[in-house]
Amino acid sequence: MNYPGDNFYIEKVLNRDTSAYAYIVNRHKDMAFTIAFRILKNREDAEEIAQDAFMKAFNSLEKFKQQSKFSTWLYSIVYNAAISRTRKKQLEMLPVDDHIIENYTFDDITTGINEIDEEEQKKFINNAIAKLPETESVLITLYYKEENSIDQISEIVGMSSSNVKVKLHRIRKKLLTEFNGYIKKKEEVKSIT
Amino acid sequence: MMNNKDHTEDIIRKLIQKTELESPSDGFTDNIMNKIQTESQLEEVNPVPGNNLWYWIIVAFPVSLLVGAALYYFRLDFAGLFNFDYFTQTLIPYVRDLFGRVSDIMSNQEFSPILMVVLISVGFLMIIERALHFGKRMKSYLFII
Repeated sequence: MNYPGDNFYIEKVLNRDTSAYAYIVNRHKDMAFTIAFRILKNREDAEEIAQDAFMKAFNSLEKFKQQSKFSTWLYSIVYNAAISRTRKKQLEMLPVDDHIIENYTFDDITTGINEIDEEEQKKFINNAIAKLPETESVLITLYYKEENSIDQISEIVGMSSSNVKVKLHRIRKKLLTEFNGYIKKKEEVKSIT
Repeated sequence: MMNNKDHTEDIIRKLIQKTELESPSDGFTDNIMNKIQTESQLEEVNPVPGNNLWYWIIVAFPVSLLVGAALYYFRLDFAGLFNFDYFTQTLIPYVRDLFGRVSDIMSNQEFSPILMVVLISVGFLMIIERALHFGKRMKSYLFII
């Protein structure tokens, strides 16, 4: 069934058809949960934060002006709640390797990608995203997976557009460096065996 | 021909597109909808007066204060209250006098104790209204957990 859009269901909810909210939840639950999970690294906490965000959005639906997308508004609620939860818990941050050495060529990487199968690629990228600092893993997911614009992302995470651009650039480099290292390790193992 | 930036963009996009979003537990949507339903039921059981009703209360409160003060001032009993002569001879001149006093206050820019009492009463009513809203939220929260 074609999804008629968030605004269609929002109108229904505002006209006291609260059951229509289930369509909105089903539509956005995965992304909302993923954002919370990328930040909190814990499924229970992420689920609680995502549920609270949906409830908060529901209770404030009358105030939602529809000037921005509903998803942008919802994700910003999830993001902020998850970030404040990490600050409260003072979770240990994963070490960030900001020292990026670009010792790869694009030919190496393209060849490397072609040499490993789809499942391995998925596994690699999931691990690489998990290693990124919380905000960066959210940024990369919102940009490439959800295909949000830079402006929408800056609204969600509360950063300037130029800051988001710079961060995305750095994340791309980090991931490629990581990928290059992965390919090289594989080659080494291959040559030994 | 692709430049380095486009190439990087292309590789990363292809890789990330292959990943899947995390999914919450199976009962995620049901949990949220149950909470919403519980909140709606609570609102039906404990309806909070709408804004219109509070405007009426705010208007009615100082009026009731004035009426109460007038009754006290004239020591009216119920029999006397329905005496028409009493209204025309005593109460109407008093009301006229009251309007005169209010206009005096306004022209002298002074605040009488009565006016202060009325203003405080209205402010107090507003605080009660906000507290009721907060109470409703807390009740819903406690009911859910």
